[in-house]
Amino acid sequence: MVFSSIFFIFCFLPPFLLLYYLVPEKFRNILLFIGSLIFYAWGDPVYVVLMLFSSFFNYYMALEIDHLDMDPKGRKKNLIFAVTINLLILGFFKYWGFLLDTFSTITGISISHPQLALPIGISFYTFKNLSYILDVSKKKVAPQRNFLIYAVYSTMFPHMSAGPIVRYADIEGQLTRRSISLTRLGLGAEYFTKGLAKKVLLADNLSAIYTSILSSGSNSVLTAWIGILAYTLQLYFDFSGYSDMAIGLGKMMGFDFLKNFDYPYISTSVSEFWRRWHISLGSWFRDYIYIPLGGNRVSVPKNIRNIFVVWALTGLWHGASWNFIFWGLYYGLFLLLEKFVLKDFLPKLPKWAANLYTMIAVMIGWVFFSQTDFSSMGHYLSVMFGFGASAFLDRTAVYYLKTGLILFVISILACRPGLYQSFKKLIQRNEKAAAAVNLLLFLLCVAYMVYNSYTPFLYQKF
Amino acid sequence: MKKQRKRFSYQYFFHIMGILFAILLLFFMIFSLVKPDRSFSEKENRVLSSRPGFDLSQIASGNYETQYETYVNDQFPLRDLWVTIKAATDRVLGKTDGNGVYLGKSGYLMEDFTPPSKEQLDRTLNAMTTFASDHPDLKQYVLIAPNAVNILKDKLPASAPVKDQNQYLDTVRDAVTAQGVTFIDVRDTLTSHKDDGIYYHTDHHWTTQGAYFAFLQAAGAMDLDSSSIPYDKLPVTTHFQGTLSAKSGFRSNETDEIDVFLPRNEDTPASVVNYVSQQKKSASFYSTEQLDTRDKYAMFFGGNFPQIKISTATESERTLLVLKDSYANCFVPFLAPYYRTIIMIDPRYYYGDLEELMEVENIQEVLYLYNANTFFSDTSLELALTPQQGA
Repeated sequence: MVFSSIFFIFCFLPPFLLLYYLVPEKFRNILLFIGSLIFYAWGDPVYVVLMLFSSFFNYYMALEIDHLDMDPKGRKKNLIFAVTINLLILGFFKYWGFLLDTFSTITGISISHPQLALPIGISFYTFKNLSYILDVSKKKVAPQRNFLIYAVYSTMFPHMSAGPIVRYADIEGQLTRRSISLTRLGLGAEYFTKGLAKKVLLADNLSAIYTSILSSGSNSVLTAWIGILAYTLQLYFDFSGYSDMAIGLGKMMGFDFLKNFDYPYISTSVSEFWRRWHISLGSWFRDYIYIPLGGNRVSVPKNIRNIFVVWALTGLWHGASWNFIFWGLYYGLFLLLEKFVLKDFLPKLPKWAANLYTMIAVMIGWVFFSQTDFSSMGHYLSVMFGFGASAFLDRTAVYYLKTGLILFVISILACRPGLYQSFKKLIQRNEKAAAAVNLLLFLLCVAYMVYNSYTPFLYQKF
Repeated sequence: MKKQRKRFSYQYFFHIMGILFAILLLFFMIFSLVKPDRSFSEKENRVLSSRPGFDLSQIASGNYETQYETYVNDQFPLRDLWVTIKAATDRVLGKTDGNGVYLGKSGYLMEDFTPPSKEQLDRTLNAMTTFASDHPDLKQYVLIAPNAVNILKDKLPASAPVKDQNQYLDTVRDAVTAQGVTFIDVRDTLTSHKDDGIYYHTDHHWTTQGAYFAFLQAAGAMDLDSSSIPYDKLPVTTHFQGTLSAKSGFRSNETDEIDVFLPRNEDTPASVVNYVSQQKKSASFYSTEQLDTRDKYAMFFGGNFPQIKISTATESERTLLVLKDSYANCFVPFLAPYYRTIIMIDPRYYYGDLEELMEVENIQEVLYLYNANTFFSDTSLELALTPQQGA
């Protein structure tokens, strides 16, 4: 099930929320658990077993590790076992085919393998479970003794299929005690509406421009830039829209999740971009890979190694394909560049110039990200810089620039904080008008959702 | 004081939002539950999906869930209103194309052209030329009507990146002409009449007027005396909402006029239309009862049928096979007075043996009559032309 569908909003959510508000507090966790299983099983009923197994396995291993308090060796063994099993599951379902294909390419021995569908949310729930088990082993958090409560954390539908990667430690208290109120429902609805509008009104329309440009066969410099600009904006609205909806649904049920995006496209350096983009993933890699490897408190060569390890893995997390690894390493290179070469130069640049530099770096990054095939990726990039381009500007470019202009302007404004600040001011001046704006956005989203057969979230592939 | 007012503001706003959200969700949930299902959408001109049957294996594969979500979307309350709102928003956002349809000037909606793959086009052309060389005794003609997107280029939104049909039409012309087949190239004719209402505004077909101009040129190529039969134009409806407005959502409230051309002279030979597979006969080319439905273009021969036989009480002994799509439906009535027998075959629905049929009906001439969009996306003509194995 996806959030931006008529089925979720008008068939699943209303009875679920109604029950959730009506039952006594002690039944809310079991209700949320059952609701999450239904949410998951709808469309993917087989893999629900895998998700439950993963949840139970980590719940159990955390108790095992905690139990061996006096035996550091045993603890370590158990931890290594638990982490290995988690990675094997993720590896088998997500990377097995990729591994065999790579092996075949290198050795020339072809091995056939079944084409497994990727279980929804496996990258997200594996990372959530890993963060829990690692935190328990480091005694940062006490293990949860009640399986239901742990299962609610690791399988709850708001952040199950596409994040954010909520940490157990961050919502430990809310899992047993949380409050619901009309204010929280309204706050959740505000988040949800904004997220829905980002996804349905902006991301999906931008995606239509990007796909028609890809299929247009146009080869001009400007077309290539318009295409990648559309994709750049689409990715942000798709993913941050999803996170907003997840946060909103959480609020409605009494949870507070940390924000996952913080206006990444206003960044003035690539390192800042990564502090603002998919924050829950960046901090996961920082806390569980980069810092344990020694972070930057080691010699420069080791620090460089750490950065490349983290970024290769970040890339790989996004998909089982070489272009994602390449994309991750590209960012590793940029971070090194900023850390060791540009560190005195970038802050001296005017803000707009630093932002422009960042955005060009990010947009080129999205070219690597968007194309799994290296030769078409190379072609797209060279056209962007005029090599092999048919012209600087052609009919296709003019057409999409003209017909997409309003959408581009709205989208660029919606990437920046200004629009949201004006909305806050509107709330203070006239609450009803602000609510009317939201109502309009919501109804427009309904119109688009009714019209379109649903388009899945980009990030659900991961 | 100001700070307090601020906090109060937010709380009030969230309360409104909470109540609004709850009401919207519950209202549409209940409305969906009590609303009876519709089977057909007049506005979108398509069958709406119905509740899928409960089936465990379909659930496990996820098919049931997908079908159910489509069903909920299709049956959502006020669906027509939502579709209108969506299309209006698209226009406000500056979109001039949707679902492969361009929102052109002067009220024209035009379907984009999708070029064929080289392999498919080669297969079709190969089948046509092989057929031509296997039947040197048959006179053969090819008339592929260019679409509005080609002829009415100047009505497209400025700089719309449409693909060019002409190079593909040239390929067809060169390939069939080399085999001695007459290619009736109506592009210049239609271009010179582009302001005479030769295409519908909301539909992908040509008008009867457009077909008539093409017929006048074809008559020359096929050696028919078109001057012997003058016609009067008679409007039969002004409420035709075509498929393109349904497909794109643009101009969904606008309508077209459908005309029929009736022979002025009463002594024009009469025809009998025999719907072979339906075992039904009619004394008219037109099914006026279709004018009461959404699909009004189907008034020409009642729509597309696998095989239609037109017998005309004329002195001519000529017999013609028309391999065609729906563009032929308003064109063929012009041919009828000149042929004793015309067999119309729509290869998309016809599975019989063409060779046998041609022998039985003593066919002397063959006309391929398609519009370019259908011709270049078609895969059935090739199959129909290829002799059936072991038959």
